[in-house]
Amino acid sequence: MRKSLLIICGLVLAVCFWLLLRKPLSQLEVKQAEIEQTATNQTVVLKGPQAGQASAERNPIKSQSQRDGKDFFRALGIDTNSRTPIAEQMLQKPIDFYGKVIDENSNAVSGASIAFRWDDLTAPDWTRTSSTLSDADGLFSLNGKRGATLTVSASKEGYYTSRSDTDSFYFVFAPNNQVYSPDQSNPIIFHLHKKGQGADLVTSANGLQTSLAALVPLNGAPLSVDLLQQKVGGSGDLELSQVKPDRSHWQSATNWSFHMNIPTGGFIEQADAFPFIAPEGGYQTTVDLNFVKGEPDWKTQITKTYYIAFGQPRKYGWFRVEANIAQQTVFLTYAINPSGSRNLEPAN
Amino acid sequence: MANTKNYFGLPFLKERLAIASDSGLVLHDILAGNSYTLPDNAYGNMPTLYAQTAQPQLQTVEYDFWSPIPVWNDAITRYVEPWLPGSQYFSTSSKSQLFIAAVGSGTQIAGYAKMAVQNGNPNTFAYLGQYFDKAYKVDTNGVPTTTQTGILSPYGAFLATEPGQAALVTMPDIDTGERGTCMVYSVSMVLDKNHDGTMDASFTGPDTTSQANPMEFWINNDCDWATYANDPGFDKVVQPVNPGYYWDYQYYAPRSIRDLEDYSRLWICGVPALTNSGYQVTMSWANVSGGPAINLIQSCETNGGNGYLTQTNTAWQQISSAYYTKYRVTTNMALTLPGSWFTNAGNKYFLFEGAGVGSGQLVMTITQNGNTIAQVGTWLDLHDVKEYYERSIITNNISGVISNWTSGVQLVQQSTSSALGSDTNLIVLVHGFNVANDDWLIQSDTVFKRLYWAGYHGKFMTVKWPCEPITLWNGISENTSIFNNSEIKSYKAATALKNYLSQLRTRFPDYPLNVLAHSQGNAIMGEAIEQGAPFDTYILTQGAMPASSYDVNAATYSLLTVAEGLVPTPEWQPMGYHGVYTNMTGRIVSYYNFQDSVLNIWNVDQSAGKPNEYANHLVSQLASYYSYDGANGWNNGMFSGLFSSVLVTDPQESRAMISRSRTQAVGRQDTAGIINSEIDLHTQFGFTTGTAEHSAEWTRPIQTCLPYYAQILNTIKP
Repeated sequence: MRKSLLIICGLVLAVCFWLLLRKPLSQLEVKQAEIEQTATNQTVVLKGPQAGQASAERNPIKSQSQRDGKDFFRALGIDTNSRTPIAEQMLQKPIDFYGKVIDENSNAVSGASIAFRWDDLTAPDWTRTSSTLSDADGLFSLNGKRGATLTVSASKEGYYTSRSDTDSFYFVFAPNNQVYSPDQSNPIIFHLHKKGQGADLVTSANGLQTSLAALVPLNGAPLSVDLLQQKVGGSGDLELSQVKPDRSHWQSATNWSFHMNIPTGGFIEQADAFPFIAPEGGYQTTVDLNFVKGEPDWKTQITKTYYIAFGQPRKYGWFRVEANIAQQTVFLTYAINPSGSRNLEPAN
Repeated sequence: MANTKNYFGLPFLKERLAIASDSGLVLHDILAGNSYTLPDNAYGNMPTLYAQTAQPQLQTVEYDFWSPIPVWNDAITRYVEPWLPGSQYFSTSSKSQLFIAAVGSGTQIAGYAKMAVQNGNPNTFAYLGQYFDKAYKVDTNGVPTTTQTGILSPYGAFLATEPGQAALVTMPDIDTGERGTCMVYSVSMVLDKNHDGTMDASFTGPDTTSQANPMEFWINNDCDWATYANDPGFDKVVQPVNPGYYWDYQYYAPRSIRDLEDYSRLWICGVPALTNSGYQVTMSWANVSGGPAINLIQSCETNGGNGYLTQTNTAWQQISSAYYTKYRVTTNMALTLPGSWFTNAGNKYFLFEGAGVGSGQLVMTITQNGNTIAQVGTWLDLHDVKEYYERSIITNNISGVISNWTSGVQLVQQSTSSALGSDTNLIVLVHGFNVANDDWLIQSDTVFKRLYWAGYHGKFMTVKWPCEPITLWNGISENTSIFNNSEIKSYKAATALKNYLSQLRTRFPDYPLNVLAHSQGNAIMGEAIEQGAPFDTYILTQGAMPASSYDVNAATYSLLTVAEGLVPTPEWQPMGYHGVYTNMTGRIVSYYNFQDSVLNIWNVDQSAGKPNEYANHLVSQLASYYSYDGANGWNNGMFSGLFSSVLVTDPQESRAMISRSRTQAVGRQDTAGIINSEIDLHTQFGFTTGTAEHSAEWTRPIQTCLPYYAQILNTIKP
């Protein structure tokens, strides 16, 4: 009995020593995988052992791991010999960036303040910042940094900064797999707009809220909004209506719609970075948005911006509406020049 | 009696004699300058004389106004009769007194037209009592407008209904049409009682306080520490040993711009220029319960605005040395405000912080030479902020195998007061991973306060679940399996969360139940909903769950699919993430940030950390790890599972420990599916990279994130 126990213990110890002393993975001979990188989506595809192959054996992955482990780490950009934590290896990508600042006339803006911010896992709070100025040609750059995401902003005294410019650039885990590729010959453009003569505008701001909330009936009944008085209900230049399902069953809805009407003027859809001059004409009195499930333009949430004109004498403004299928409330954000001028630049 | 004049300088015109004689009463007029001899039959007595003087020609020189109410004199400790025309102490050199009335309190005014006798003595005056007509608002230039104010009786009883200067106009003179105007300064103390951002000074407006309806606010007993000059501040845990060292209200100044979220506005309106050195303005408490106390600081905003909460520049100015001096008002000590503050007329703007728990009336008294001439009060009720919301704790029983883990909810404290209001809304906060108890309390306090300032008037609840903590953020970059270990705990705590939300539905059947789940709090919330938890609006904020859990068509990420190709894991629910929560119904909104750094670590964990510890196992055969053979998942013990390798049948364990997401986290990616709408936190609020930005809504100072909370209120609207 005692002898049997000693033999069993010896076998166990031998196995343990074998596990401890066998060659590290990196020294194993493994089949080299071909790495193919596409030009468009940066997809890394390994040709080698067929992905997903596994036997029905109990823990067959045990042996597969020895073969695919190196491929696995390589595919993720991980060097197992490095003391650097895996997260740093995966997220500390080289950061190089090239940008250019131009004004509303496409002229280069020199002396614009450029602020960089990127996540660097080696930094306190994982964040580093830097700043520079654009040169005489409006150009600027950032080089030799490491991180996953870079934010860039451009500003200058006497100018507005565009809120439409892309300001975030990803070097790994990019939205829609769109990793930024630095190109000095094609810098990213940042738009500034010189400040002009602003006007006193009537806006939708009330307290902390920047928008006016309108509880529009779900059954298509119209609701009027007096934009200048920030009043919903009663009379007004803007008429809203919508047809939506009960919010608790919106997922099973097959359609919804939202309508706006300004009988004394209308709407012009716009996406201007600096909506400072309203057009004089071309306004459509009605906006009809209809969504049918299965169609390409099916949406459950809309955000639309317009120039608007209304009333006699005519007044002009810019206008944004936000609505979604599961909420009765619609949010209106706007700025109107009550004097009748088409100037929509806010007073500075 | 030629050229004879009476006391007032009016010349006598004639004297009428009434003479008693044998023939009866004889009347005889003696014209001025003439004489008359009494008849012989006059009785020996002197006749009765009736003098006629010239009619006084009166001309109004001014209108004067005094209070007819006796005034308490501290020096002689008795009421003193007012010195009105007709009083023995009255002097014709007396001028109108300054009238200061408290809004909501009546005041009595006696008005007189002071009239010079043109054909009499030059220093002789007649005082004609006046009836009052109307009271008008006075503009900032001191000019009466045509807008009426207050309630005024013809007899001079005036009730001020709004602060500011009022012009009380007398009835017109019947001959000349002239009117007199009495200026009354109506003073009030105004609070933003309903925290809607508007200071409403009207008498019965929404900011009116009373003993039954005081302003509810919290004492500033947290610690918004700043470690360097430009540090916006962070919440430091108040240590139980010597807590007073940490309480912000004990500090000599606001500690940081973050600290300003513990201050509310107080306006003193309508006080005139008090340039006479005899004036004094004091603040004190009356009708107290407990020990209420406040610290006042002067506002740096010339319009008394709330930029200290919304604008960084204003906030920095507010905590600068020019404005940071605190003036404490306690029940033991009245505060005499510096006279220099009242040398100019106009509103005075202050901020205050709670410095003592209790309730009472904060009273401002204006005295002149010891005599009280105006007194106005406002009611406050001050509590520890935790008394204003409900806290619950979920505990897990994690003994035995994972599939046997259970959870329970322990209600810690219901709210004992309501600072928010009486709206029928509930907001329940569910925190993420790495939230220790102190952090949870700080986070909950902060969210409550910011919902308050955003104008929320419903109820607030917060739930603690047993998440995995880390000691240093660097630790997670070295071992991302903390995410997985915390995720399984979140799943196992879900039953208790479901029970709690169900209880809330029962307790508040007509209240919309809104849930704000942060980061990994969406793992516990997702499971709770799967088990039947009720909700009306569910906000996933910076959600640390795969986007594919909510949207089967969510865009995959290449690196994740590559990793999946080499080390496969379960994809579809229930053992995988894909589509696991797509049968949720209701309004579900995702607040996401493409730049979220912490969720990038989550991405790393999904890439290299799934199955859990598998990567470590590839490097060292000693580690225990999870694995997947294409059909089943396994929990393998040390030494490559030599001694134990257990089949994983629990779907929650499979998702947390084995399954790899094919998409980024919902908090870092556009997601549709059951997500009905989204908010881009970077575009709308500037949330960006860095560990703190994953929780920017409470790690940032209020000045740079209050719009986030305004957005929550928009999201939960019907």
